Amino acid sequence: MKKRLFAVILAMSCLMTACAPKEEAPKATQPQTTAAEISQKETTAEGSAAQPAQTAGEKVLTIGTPYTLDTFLPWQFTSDGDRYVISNIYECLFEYDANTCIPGLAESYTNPDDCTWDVKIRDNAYWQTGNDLFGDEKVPVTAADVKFVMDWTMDPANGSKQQTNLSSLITSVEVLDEHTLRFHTEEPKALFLFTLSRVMIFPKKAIDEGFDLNAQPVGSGAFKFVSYQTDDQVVLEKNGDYYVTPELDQVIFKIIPDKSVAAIALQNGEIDITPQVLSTDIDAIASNDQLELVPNTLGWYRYAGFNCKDELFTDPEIRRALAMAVDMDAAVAATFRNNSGTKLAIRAYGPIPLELPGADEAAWKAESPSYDPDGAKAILESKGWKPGSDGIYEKDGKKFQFILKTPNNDNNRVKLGTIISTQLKQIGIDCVAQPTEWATLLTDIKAGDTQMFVMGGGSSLNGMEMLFHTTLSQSNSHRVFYDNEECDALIEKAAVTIDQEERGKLLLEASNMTIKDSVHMFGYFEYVQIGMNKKVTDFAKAPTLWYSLCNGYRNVGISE
Amino acid sequence: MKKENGMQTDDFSMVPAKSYWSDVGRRFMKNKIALLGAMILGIIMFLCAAAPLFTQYDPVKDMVLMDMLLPPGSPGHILGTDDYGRDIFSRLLYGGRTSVLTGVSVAVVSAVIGVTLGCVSGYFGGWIDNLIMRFTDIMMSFPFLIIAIAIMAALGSSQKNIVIALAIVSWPRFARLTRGQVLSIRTQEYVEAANTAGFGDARIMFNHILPNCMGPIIVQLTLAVGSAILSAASLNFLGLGVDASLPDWGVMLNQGRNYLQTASWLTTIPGIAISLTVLAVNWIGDGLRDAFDPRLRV
Amino acid sequence: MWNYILKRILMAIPTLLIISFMIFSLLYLTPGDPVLLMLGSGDTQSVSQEQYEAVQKELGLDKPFLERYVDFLLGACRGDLGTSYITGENVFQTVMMRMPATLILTVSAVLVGILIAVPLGILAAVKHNSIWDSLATFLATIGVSLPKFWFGLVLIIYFSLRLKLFPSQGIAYIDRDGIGAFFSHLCLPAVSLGLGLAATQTRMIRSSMLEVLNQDYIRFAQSKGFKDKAVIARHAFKNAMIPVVTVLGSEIGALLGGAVVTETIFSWPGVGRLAMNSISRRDYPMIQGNTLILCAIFLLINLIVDIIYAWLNPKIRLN
Repeated sequence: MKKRLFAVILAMSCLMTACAPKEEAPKATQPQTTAAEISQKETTAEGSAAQPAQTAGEKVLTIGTPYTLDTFLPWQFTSDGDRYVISNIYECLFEYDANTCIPGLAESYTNPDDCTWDVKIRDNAYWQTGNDLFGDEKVPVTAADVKFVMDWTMDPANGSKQQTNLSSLITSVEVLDEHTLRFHTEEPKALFLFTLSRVMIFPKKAIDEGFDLNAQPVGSGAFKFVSYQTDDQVVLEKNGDYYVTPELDQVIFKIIPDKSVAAIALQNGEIDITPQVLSTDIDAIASNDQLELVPNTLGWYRYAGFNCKDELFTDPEIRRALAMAVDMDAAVAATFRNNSGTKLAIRAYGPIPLELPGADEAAWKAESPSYDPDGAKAILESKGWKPGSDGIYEKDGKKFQFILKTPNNDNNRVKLGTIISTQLKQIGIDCVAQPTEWATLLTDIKAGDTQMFVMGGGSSLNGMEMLFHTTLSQSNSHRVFYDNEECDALIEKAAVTIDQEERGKLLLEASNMTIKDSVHMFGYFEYVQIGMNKKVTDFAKAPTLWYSLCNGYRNVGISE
Repeated sequence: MKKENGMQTDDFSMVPAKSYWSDVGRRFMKNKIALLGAMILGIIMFLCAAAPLFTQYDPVKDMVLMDMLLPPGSPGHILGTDDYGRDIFSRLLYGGRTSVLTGVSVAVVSAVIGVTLGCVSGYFGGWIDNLIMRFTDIMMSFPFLIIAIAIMAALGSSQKNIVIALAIVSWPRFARLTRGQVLSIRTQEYVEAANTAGFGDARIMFNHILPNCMGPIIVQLTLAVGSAILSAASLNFLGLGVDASLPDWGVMLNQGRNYLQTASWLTTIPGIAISLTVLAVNWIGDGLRDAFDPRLRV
Repeated sequence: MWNYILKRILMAIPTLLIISFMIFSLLYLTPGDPVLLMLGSGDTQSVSQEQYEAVQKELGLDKPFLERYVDFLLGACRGDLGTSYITGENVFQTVMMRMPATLILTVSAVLVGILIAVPLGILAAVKHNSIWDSLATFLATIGVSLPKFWFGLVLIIYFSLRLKLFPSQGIAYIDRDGIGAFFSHLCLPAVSLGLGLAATQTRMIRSSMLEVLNQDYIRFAQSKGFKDKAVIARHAFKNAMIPVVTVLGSEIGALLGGAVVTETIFSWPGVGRLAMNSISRRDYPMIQGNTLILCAIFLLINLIVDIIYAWLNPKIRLN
């Protein structure tokens, strides 16, 4: 009797799963959506974008992404995972890979003067067909479309996530002819192209008609949206009208939240690419004949920041002493040790990834203190700190005791925090490495409610602004209260210096200041390894999912 | 031998037990498995409490990064080292202090709260029952992580507050379990008899009903020790711990998560330690259950 | 009985009101700023004060606490639990999209759990202090002493990576991938979750069975070679099932709230991942909606459990 009952329940739930709504329910622009509407939209979605049956010889690339998808709206996304998917559907004017600019929708640009940019877009760009917005009509992408997107993005009422970035970049856009635009900026902008690489171009028609781009994304990219199964997978298919014929017939993004499981799925051949292989899984991938590891082009910067306003750390000498007490070389070596000899990270002597302008390891090294625990103690004692009865330094009856907040979402950062705290404990500083929930940590940093914290980021062309600028770092997760006007001036000057060499010099000078003042305990640059099946072609050239798998620069395929 | 046996029979049949509780104690001492459990737990607790006698390593400060991931049996490190090059044996001993304490105190605190509320709820019934049970429904559906984040933010992160957070989320299960038992036992003749005899509510609850529903409660209690150790560690993993460098069995387990294939001892060693503790507690629990069972009295 | 059920359903209204207020105030006290998280400030982006305030206003987070609560209640009365801060989707729909996956995992895990726990628990009790008893205790001990991620990963490493018997991740749908794929994807997560469930249940069943076997009248019946002892045993057995049913009810409720760890490891698109994600992103409407839905589930399950009590022991009256 009982068994029969369970059999019935199981059968019922199987049935429910089998008939589970396959398409994401229409994103509720109006919160009240009636059931009839839902089912209607579902059928249209099924009808127009049914998953094509996988026929023999079809080239399918499966990518395991660790991120939950938040949105398909090109102006709404903030997470890397969303960008991985959307960048194949939509195009930006330019794409950026570390310090290399790659043309996207734009073909070329000229600078009549430092504050004017003439951008020419491709004359063979079309909006995708076979959807409910354009039907089968091949509509070209025009300069007017791009201008619309720029204006729309800069209007705060539309709530684009790029609004601040774009508004502070350009003052106006005009259409010169069908394929040429002119951008005006208030002052010379060094990061003009870089900033545009975050603004995706979407069809004006969708906005005019109130078309739901979240339910059915339509862009001008090399791949068309086919389907999304909630928290499971996104299927894209090739866009035959794209000016380069994609090598791949289908791209599937499978959401695999656990990175070590993704590594197993890669070994099993269930997926072809996983964007982040954990250092503990490196050896298994490296020793597999079918697989290879491709390092990210850019080393991601990781550090432990001091709150320079905290009474313990107002003195740069004290911060320097603490940095001297930590054997960062050993810490990096231990954290990223592997048998295959893969370079997972290198020690950071300064805050700018070595691939970007402003980085100069040799110059930084000259400014950096070396590992010297006894020297550290000597400095502390010269500042009036004395070892107490329990071995912990004291001054005026107060112990040298503080909390190092460590984010919980990255094992390597946890390790960095733990090693720093342990080595400080070894010289008599009571440093507690407190694991801190990510959201709480972000709020704490922004509010200045930290003493020291482990963080990562700023690994892009505007990194110095994010990390050290007094006002620009105010609203983000790197707030160290460095507040150095001289440094601010250098960073601001760099932002309006278009000449790359000149800009590099300014940034180097600024970064040297932060090293001299020991604002950060500089950690490491992490070269995240992408795990890839060897049958994937043309990916290693530009190993990133940050922009499309197929464009004028690369055309990822799969060999049999 | 024979004489002793005779004594025993005498004990049971002739001399009326002085009290129910002393009876429980006596019966417990006669249960070999239970005593074995108590012995194991005793040894574990002694090893942890007297840790400095058995290891010269400091569990936190003695971190030699060069010596990371030495397998068990390496010279100088009986159980090997972890991914920071710290001695696992020393971390196991020191870590047991927090883990055993946390596990046992969470289980006991939540059992005391849950059993009391469940007993009252089941015995009185009516609106009291309704009130308490709806409250347990609420507590059971509350997201644990939110409670934990809020408590840690409000009271600061400390081992004590971790115990509080865990007790808050685990008592409702005890309450529901106890209430179910009380509901069924309340209908039995002897309770009705006690009622008619005019015994007070408290006396009926604690002397007549509670002893009869100890079985499932003890099972739940003993198993809760293990899950409390693990939950405490998962808090650390979620970013709500006290200090990432402090040793703790559950934290050690989590730390070995990514080394399951390459250095499995990182998980198996703390796993065995927790299992052994839970096993010992379970045996003690079995003994207690038998000892509490009033039907086994004669 | 129908009166009783009606009364319990009416009781659900104040209960849901109370929990909505509790979760609302708790979220108010919890650190973490949804606006900051929503703007994705962090690695690559600066946020201006104006943009921050605009988003804050858009989410209604600039309003005072009580006003926000009343707005939420009014919405909830119309059956609208609000829209997610992050995706802008309807909360109720978003949860329900993930329910089928959670439901199927729960049902199969309970099935696995019961298939292990019932025979083992009964065997352990009938052969008290035998090897079976030790085995049951041992299994239960392991089940509660090792974390869920351990079971999940070990199963994946052995049965997927080494033996290549099952896929390591993901769900399969019958219409999309076929019935074979459906079951092979379901196997590992269901077993890893079911083992944990079996641990507690085996011990509970063993203990309850021992209780039954020690009942005076069973012993009496046995000693007298009573003819109808099966009848008596059944009666006693039913009564002893009360704690088993209680625990099972609590476990099922918790599982329907989402098995976060198992879902994450096996890439299972269930409610747990959604709940976890919305907590770590401080998606207030989603957390509130999730909690309310889960509370409703618990109210329902505990009502069913209470009705089963009355069936197991007819002397327990539904009042």
